[in-house]
Amino acid sequence: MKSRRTWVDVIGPILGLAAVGMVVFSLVYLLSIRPFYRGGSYDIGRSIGNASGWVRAEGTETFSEAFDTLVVRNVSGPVHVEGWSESSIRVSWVKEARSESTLEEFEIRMQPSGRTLEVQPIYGPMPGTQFGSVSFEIRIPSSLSAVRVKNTSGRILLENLPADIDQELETVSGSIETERAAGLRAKSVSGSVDFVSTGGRIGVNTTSGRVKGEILALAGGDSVEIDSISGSVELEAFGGLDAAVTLQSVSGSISCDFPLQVSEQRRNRLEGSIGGGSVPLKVKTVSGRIRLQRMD
Amino acid sequence: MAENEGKLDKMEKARKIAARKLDFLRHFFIYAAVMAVLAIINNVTWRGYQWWLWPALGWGIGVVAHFLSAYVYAGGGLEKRMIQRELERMRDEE
Repeated sequence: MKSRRTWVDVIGPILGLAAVGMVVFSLVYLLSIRPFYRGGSYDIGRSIGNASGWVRAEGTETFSEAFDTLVVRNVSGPVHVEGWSESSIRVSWVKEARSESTLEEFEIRMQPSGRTLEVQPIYGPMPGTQFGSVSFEIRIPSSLSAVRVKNTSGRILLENLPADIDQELETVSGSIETERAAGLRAKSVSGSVDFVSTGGRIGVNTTSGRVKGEILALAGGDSVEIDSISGSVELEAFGGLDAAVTLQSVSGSISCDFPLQVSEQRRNRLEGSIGGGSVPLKVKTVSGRIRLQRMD
Repeated sequence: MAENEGKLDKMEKARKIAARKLDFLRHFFIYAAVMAVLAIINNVTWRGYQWWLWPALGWGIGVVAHFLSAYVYAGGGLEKRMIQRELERMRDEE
């Protein structure tokens, strides 16, 4: 007797093949987009051409208007911000795509909006697999008072800054390195955060990246708040630190080099004040160790 | 008596295979619905990088494995076919 097929017998294999197709498509896309690309970094102007199927183009634009704030939003690729003695902002970029036609659809938009300059890549209507990373190298003047960089997969580096600047830096899979932060909000999921702060409100948040920071000054009204899940936190602070300290780690070790008037001490928590305790300094980790050191 | 037990065994086996196939269909539709929601969120908030393909890949491997166990390897069909082929080959050699 011939067995009769039900709709489940017919539709099942079709859906099974659809699932196989989805897996293959995801794999091809994720391998081709190079989501964790960190290479190439800052050699702008070098080797522009067709390497391993990617086409590159570069560009530079200079803005002589006076801006207060620079905003950079990138998806994949490093963002490098450096100070210079000029009074203008110079933005250099290298973008990559699968073909020349896609490259033309891939716009680097630089939009002045009042006292703010916004920089970001705008993707064309093609599938995301066609677009590669964008590397930014940006020169900023001493008149700039704030820098905000948001990246998804790529390093953020701020160096040789001409003045103390308020900073907001966020990336998912890259590291963050900065200096002369007069106010810092830094967030990284898997990358580390290295900073040098000259005061202001400091807020650093990482999931698995370590945090290493130097605090050169803090005044009344400032604050330090650092959170990490599995990364360790190492802070070096100036000798005259005057702070109400709370250090808490669920399973990591805690150490403090400063003379501390302890108000609470448990296996996973150390609370007390250094000097008059005017500035709140809170560090919290789940499994990372915490170390608060005095600067030499 | 033995014939009756054999019938019950077959009935139980058939019930398990049917349940496995229906389970796979349910699994696939939940997968498709969740991925559709993630793809919409991805493309509404940012049209560039398609991050939703990461869960689509991971979970998709699980769905494919479920499909194989429900349709391809269910009830020892593959094993039966291989035994049949081996018997035919041995017969040809004789």
